[in-house]
Formats: sequence, structure tokens, C-alpha cells
Amino acid sequence: MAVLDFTYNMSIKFSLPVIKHCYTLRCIPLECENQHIEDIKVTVFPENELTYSHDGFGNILVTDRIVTMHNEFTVDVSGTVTTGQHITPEKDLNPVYKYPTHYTKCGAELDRMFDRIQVGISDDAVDTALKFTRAIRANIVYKSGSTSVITTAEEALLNGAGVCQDYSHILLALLRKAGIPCRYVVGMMVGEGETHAWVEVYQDGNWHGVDPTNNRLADENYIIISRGRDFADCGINRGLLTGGGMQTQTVALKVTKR
Amino acid sequence: MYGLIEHTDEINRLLARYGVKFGIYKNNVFNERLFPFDAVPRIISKDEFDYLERGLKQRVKALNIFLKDIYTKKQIIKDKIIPEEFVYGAAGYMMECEGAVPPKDVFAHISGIDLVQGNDMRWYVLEDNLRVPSGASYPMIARELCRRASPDTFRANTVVDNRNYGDLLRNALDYVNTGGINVVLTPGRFNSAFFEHSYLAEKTGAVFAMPQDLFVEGNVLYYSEYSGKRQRVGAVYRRINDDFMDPMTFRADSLLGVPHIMDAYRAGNVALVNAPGNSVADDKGIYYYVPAMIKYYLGEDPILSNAPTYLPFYEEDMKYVLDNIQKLVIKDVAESGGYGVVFGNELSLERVYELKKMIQKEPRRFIAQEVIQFNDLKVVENGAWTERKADLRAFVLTGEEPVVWKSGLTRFSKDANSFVVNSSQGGGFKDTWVLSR
Amino acid sequence: MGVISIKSSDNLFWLGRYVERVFTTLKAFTECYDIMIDINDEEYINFCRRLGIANNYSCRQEFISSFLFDSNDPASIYSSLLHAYDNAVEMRNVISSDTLAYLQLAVDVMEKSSSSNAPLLKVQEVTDWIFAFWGSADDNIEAEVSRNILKFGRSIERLDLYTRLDYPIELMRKEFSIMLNRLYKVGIEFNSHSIERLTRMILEEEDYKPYKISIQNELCQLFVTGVM
Repeated sequence: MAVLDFTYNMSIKFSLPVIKHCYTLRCIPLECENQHIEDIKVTVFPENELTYSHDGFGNILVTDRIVTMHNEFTVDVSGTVTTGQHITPEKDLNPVYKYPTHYTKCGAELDRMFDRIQVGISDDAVDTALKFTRAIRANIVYKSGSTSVITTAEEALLNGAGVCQDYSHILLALLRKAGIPCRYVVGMMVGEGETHAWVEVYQDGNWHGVDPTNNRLADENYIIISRGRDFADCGINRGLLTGGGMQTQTVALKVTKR
Repeated sequence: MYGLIEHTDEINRLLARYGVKFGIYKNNVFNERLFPFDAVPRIISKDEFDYLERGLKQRVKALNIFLKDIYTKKQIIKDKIIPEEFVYGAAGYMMECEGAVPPKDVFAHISGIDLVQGNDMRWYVLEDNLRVPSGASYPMIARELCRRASPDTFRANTVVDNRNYGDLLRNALDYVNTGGINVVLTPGRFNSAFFEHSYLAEKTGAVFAMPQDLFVEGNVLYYSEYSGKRQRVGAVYRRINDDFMDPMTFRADSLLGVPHIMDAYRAGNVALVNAPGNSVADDKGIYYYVPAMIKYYLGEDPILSNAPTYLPFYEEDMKYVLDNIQKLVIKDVAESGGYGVVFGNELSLERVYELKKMIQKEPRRFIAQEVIQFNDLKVVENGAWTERKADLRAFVLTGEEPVVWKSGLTRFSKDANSFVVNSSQGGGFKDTWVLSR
Repeated sequence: MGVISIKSSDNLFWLGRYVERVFTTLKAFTECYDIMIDINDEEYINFCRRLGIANNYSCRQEFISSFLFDSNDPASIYSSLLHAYDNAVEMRNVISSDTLAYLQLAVDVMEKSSSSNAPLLKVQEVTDWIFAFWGSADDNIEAEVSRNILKFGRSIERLDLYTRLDYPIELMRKEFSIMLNRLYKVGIEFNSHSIERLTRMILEEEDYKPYKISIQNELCQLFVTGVM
């Protein structure tokens, strides 16, 4: 177990005023089987009637509709999370995590990769995920800016480079091909920088975090924000704007261990 | 009835006068077309309709329970009645709806069940439409005009009045309304069924809204008035597909949607009619399992039969399909509206070979059905009697209990030899009479 | 049901305007047509100038067929009628299917009449259907606010066309009073300075004709509110 303090600040500056703005944020750490929220503070600017709800994955949504003009949009979340626990096992597994999605569908390249490494897959899902992770790292290198939000697992593999999102998508694609239920996770790691993405695999009624980008288990140093089938389900900020022009986004994130 | 047929042209002129049209896109140009009406009605006897009514209620009841089960407990999967890949590996299931239970547990407020009658006079269900089934307005207004054109026909025959569809629809909306006005939501003027949207708004007394008239604040849906006031909305009869309904949840490029309407729905603050996520029940693969579903949920034998259907997913069925492909009709589960349907006997040997390979590669993508020998219906074309293939879309409206509308949309094919009765592919419609004795 | 959105109120307003435009311009056209029979072949040039539309017509015949029946001529009667129909078709549930049907019938007449050698006989039917439209609207539009917005649109269009067509001052004054009455009932925010100026020019001055252009401009400014 560990106690982690975090601050997350996101700011978007618009070159032209925004006249109308609807947003859905997935920016609040989850209360779930492996972590407990001790304290949380959320400030969004501008706000009108800030509303909290859940999506189909159980993620926390913060939504609002702004009809006053603004040139800036900021989200500040800070709090304390106890991590590294396994309180209650997850309820029934939703079979949806077994099936490929748009981002995690295997093309010819992923099929070939899978065929090369599948010999010797063990019964242990976490072991398998780590084995796949090593194979992924042998095939692509980490390079920020080498892919975009629309890059699929297959495209990233062909590209030979990617970021945490792509590492995770490739791992999900391989695991699902092997019949192992798994999901995409967005969250934070101890340290400074940006939000991170990794994978959870399902075994014996529990979800286990595997971070393919860093080739390690996602342990008590990780805070989970949202989970889904792939990147598309876990957007931190989804907005619909009238006006706004060009956007400049900055993110500051800091997680410290007590 | 001859009095009616004699006035076919006048009735069609009246239909034009009332703007009874449907829109169609051809080469990206939107055109409105009149929907040709044939005055010879499809007549269903009281006994026969009683039988259909029992079967339809049973089917819709089971489908409603299925939808709730799939988005919550998933018991039918755990009990291995339906293989999970037909639900969770298919496009119809929507994770966005997971755990969401609509007001009063009604998912399918309006169900359009497509049936055909074989020449053995048996009825077969061809398709369940639980998303946004359309077409009820056509026989509704046609009846009104037929009664004007040939009153004697309706004095001489005991036909159940079908002009109560607006009331049935309003009842279904009122039953699930969470407190607020009823709204009919249309994507706009250039939707193929725009006539129907506006006509049903008129007949239900609901407010007719375009997406820009609605907004969500604090997980509550409102209709904004020109005076600046807002009206809370309790039920939305929405004629927009799930994909386009909420750009914050579904397709971000949708200009037809209402941002955050899904959040208001998930919070239980508004009834969406029909509920989002119903596409899982319309899936052609799930169709195969509806009889099993009826047995499983209701403990009853299914009253209505499916057309004999094979799932290449099962080895035994795969073998049958490959051996008999030339006498079967093959349907792609991802397509609708009469597209993605091929008749094995119309294919060249080369195409048969290709199709077989595709089925073997993606068995989950296809279903195969025996070709039903239709009981053709009579139509009058240029003054002469002839025959056409026809189907029947029955409408079941669910409030506290399912109610079957005592009529339906009978569509017939454009050409004598065509099996495709979809209005977007040409063809016309008939009134459907249910006799009261 | 008195629940009307901004878009719906806009549809009703423009429905009122376009139906009136068809009606009053048809009347004016009929007079012009009569003059062109045996008095002045080129009367249509005056007609265009009075209405403030560009004279893109090469001759009398072209003017008659194009101004009446050509949907590609934005100034034509048929174009105005189609605009009216476009607004009406989105309002079926407010104005009723029966009211909408009268516009459909008028559209059908225009569609079929383009090749007539006695076009006035045909357009008479359009006028008839418009009378029926207003009768039906009065009877079938349940909500008072919807009726008022529709007729408010009609009043605005009348005031605009009356100035162009030099209608007598009495008619102007009568229509202006009707318009004011509806404006207050409708409860839309409006530019009170415009109303003051219009009141002076139409009701207080001896004749409105010297101020024609100003009146037309003020009518356009009626809903321009707030700081510019």
C-alpha cells in the first residue's frame, strides 16, 4: 500500500472567443478495487452547472454546458489516493473486453507478430502480458509525436514507433487474440509530466495492471483515472465548441509518494 | 372494395396533397418521392390477427427482457443460451448503455416486426426492428383518405379503425415520461422519414423539435423557447439513430445530436424512445435466438416462427449452408434496409465460390435462410390486376403492457419478380385491414 | 400547446412573410400584366423598379414566365412560394396537416402551370389556396402565440410591400396598428427606437411616401437590439 498525493492542471487557451462549449471530462481517479480516494478537489473554469455522473465503464464524468464567452478553459484536480490494495474482487467480467475494437484489431502485421510469439504462452495472463510486452519493445521504439490520436495498433506496429497509447493498444490486440480479457487504462504515475496509459489483464476474478511502455507491473505507484476497451473510451477531455479558433493546450501533472 | 379501387388515383392525389412522401438520396442529391399506394388492402381476419397479436406480444416481451438482461446481469449469456460473441463481439451491443436501465424498464417502446406469409399461409418473422422503426404514418393517413374516397367500402366491411396510432404512441410516451413535455425529435427536413416525424408530432400532440431546440444542463433535458424560457422534457420520441444522438458520447462529428442527452438518460431524468442500445436486438445473428429467448425468459413455446435460419457459426449449419448455398438467401448481419442480401440462385459460379470463401473466413458475419415461397398479394397496376411480393411490418407499442396496433404497413415490391420490398428500393404500400369479426 | 422554440418562431415568422409576398406581389403582377396586354409592353420595367428587384428580363414574355414560374429566379413568385413551403413543412404539427396541404396545392399549381398561355387563370388558383391557407390557419392553429407570430410576419411583409407599391396611407396606418398590436402580444424583444421612428413616419407625418426607404430600413432593424 502507498499513499499518493497528486495535482493535475490542464489549460487550453483559445485564439478566438468560445461562444458555446459542452464538455465531458474523465479526470477524476476512480474509487475501485485497487485504490481508495482519500481526498479530492476539482476546479473547472468556466463552469455553469457542473455535473457528476458515470459512463458505462464506471468512469466518473464531469460535464457542463457553457454559454458565456471565454478564451480559456482550465481543469485543476488534486487529491490523495491510497493505492496498491485489493479490497473486493471485481464483479462479473463484461465479455466485451475479450473482443477487438477499432484501435485493437489485428491486421496482417499483428497476426504475424502474434504467430511468432504465441508458442509457449503460459496459463498465467500476467506472465503472458509481460511476454507480449517484451516482444512489443523489440518491435517498436518510444518516440513522442510519432503517432496521433487516430493511430491504430496495427498502424503503430507498422510505424515501428509510438507512445504509451500505442504500446497499450498493441498489447491489447495481442492479448485479445490470445483470448485474454483486457482493458485500456488512463492514469498517472509517481513523478512529473503527463497522464499515462497502460493495460489491465483479467485473471482469477481480478484485474492486474501491466505497463508495456515501462515494461513493468502497474503497482502502487500508479493511480487509475479511467478504463475502457481502448483509447476512445477514456478521453480525458471531450469538448464540443462553437468558436475558439486555434487551441494551445498545456498539462502539468505531479504525483508524490508520502 | 371495388369502390375503393376505382378511386385509387384520387387517393394517391390526396396523399400528394398531404405531402405523404419519403426522401431518398441518390448521388448525394436529396429528393422527395411520393410513396405509391395500392388501394387493394391486405385483409387479415380476426382469428388470424388474434394469433399474430399473441405471438407479437410474446416476442416483444421477451426482447424487452433480453435488452435489460444484456445491459445488466447477462444471465442468458451465463446460462449459455446465446454465445457471448453474438452479443459482445458484435456491433449491436453498445458499451455506452451498459448498466443503464430506462424509465419503467421499457427498452422497446415501439417495435416494428417484419413478417411474411408463405404460400402455405403460415406467417414467418423476418426481422425485428427495435431501433427506430418507421412507416406507421402511411397506413394511418391512407385509411383516413380511403374512408373519404369510398365510404361504402367501410360500411360494408367491419374494419378495425387504425387511426388511433397517435393515441397509442402518446400513451407509450406518457407511460415512461419522467415529468415534463413529450417531444418528437427529428434530425431535420432532409431525413427520409421527415413526413412521418412531423405527422406523428401532430397526431400525438407532442412538441416537434430539431436538435438545436434541446439542451442538457445538470443532467436534465430542456426545450428552449423563443422567449428564453425553458421547458423540462420528460420523454423524447427520437427519430435519430444512436450513433448521431449525442456527439459527446457517440460520433463526435454528429451535427444532429443533443450534447449530453445520454448523460441525462443514464441519470434516469428522461425517457428516450426507443432506448439507445436496442441495436443488439435487431442484429440478424440475435434474431436466430429469439425463439430460444422466449422459452428462456417466459417459459413459453414461441407462437410465431422465424424463417428457417442457419448460422454458419455452428459447424453443422456451416456444412448445410455450403452444400445448399444456391437455394438459400444469404444476409450480411451488418447491413440493413434491403442491402447486403443475396439470393444464392442468382449468383454466378464464380460469385458462389467467393461467397463461400467469405462465409468460411467470417462465419459470424452471415446468416442463411431458406427462401420462403411468398403468398403474393394482388395489386392493380395501370388498371390491370397483377401480383407482388409483400411483407407486413406490425407495430407493437409497449407501455405497461405491449399493445399491437390493429393494422400495419404492407409494402410490396416494385417488380413482380423482386423479393425486396424496402421503400428505399422502389415499391409501394397498401393499407392493412384487421377485421373486427 | 404554446411551446415554441426560436427556430419554430423563425419558421412561423417567415412563413407569414413569404405567403404574404406571394399574395400581394401576385395582385400587383396582375395589374402590370393587364397593362402589358395593350397599353405598354414594357410596364414590367416599372414593376421591377417599384419592387426593388433587378430587371434581368430581356422581354415581356421572359418576364412573365420567369417571374411567375421559374424556381431558379430568386425574385419569382414560385421561389417565394417554395420558401413559404419550406418553412411550413417544418411546422406541420403547429399549423396542422390541413393548413400545410393548402400550400402544397398552391405549389402543385405553380409546378403544372409554367406553360400556360393564360397564366392569370392559373395563378388565380394560387390566390384561392392562399385564402384557404389563412382560413385554415385561423381555425387550426391552437396556440395564440403561434398564430400571432405567423400574422406578425404577414404584417411586416405587408408594410414593406405597401411602401414599395405606393399603397394609400390609410392602409399603411391600419396595417401598422395591427402590426404593433401583434408585436406586443408576441413578446419578442425588439428595438424600441425603430418603433418610435416608424410610428412618427407612418402615423404622425402627413404622408409616409417621402420616408419610404427609411421605413423599409427600420423594418429590417426591428429586431436588432442591444449594443452594436
